[in-house]
Amino acid sequence: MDMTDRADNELVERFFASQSFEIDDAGFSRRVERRLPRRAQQLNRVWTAICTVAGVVLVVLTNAIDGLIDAFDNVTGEFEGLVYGFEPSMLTPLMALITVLTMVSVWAYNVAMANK
Amino acid sequence: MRPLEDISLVTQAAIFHNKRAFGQLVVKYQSPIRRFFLTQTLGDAALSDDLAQETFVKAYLHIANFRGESSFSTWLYRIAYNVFYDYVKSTRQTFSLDTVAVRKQSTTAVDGNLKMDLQEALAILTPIERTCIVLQLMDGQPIDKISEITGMVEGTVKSHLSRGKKKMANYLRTNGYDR
Repeated sequence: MDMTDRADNELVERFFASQSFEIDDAGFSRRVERRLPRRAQQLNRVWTAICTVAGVVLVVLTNAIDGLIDAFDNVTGEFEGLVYGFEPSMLTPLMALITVLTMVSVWAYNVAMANK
Repeated sequence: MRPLEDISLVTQAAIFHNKRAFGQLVVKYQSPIRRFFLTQTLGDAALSDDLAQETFVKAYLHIANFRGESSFSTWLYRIAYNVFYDYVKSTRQTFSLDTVAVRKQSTTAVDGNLKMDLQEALAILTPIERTCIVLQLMDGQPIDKISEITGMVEGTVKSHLSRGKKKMANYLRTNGYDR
């Protein structure tokens, strides 16, 4: 980029910086919302209702309810076992350090992404 | 509002057809999108609002096609760009009457937001130069995003920017803006 191009750039950028403006909503968003089609929403409701009914029928026809109860008991049993099986003495200083470092890294990443 | 929040709102609008979530996106982006149209139409506020509404309705209808490969803002600008150039194509004959004389006759339609200096400076550019210049200098889009929005290769975008800036700089010097 030569001197003239740079001067042109600066002049145009300065001009645009002085001309910047924002537009008030003034009911625009509401007007857009009124124009959004309802059909998609209705189709979605119909589709959700069909899937729900089909799911319930399938569960009843295949006697899957007992299986679902067993699966739920297994998951809650595993979780309870995990909670009761935890002993603070198992937590070595190295594990505690890794845990803290992981939490700090996740926090720093979230802060960095938020400020990006 | 951060990009992650945009994605969360887009997801709610796409999966649950949550109009309130989409409404938040409209509130956030209405100003830059309407400003984009206002500069492209050289200050025709009524036309800008119509085109901006069409942009948001199209975005809502096709929101499931948003893959998150680019930001929601870039995707929205791409729709706005297509809406504007579809409009230009559909009204090519009347839009080519884009002379200062015609615009000055229609000043009643011109929005007070678009200052007359800016409007006249933009009027000396070709539509595509205007689009590239506004996207870069008013909306702060980098060249790769402008390329994505307009579908032109980066080299072509740079050429339009360079030509447009040269024209504008000459215009501004002639009108005493360099003092």
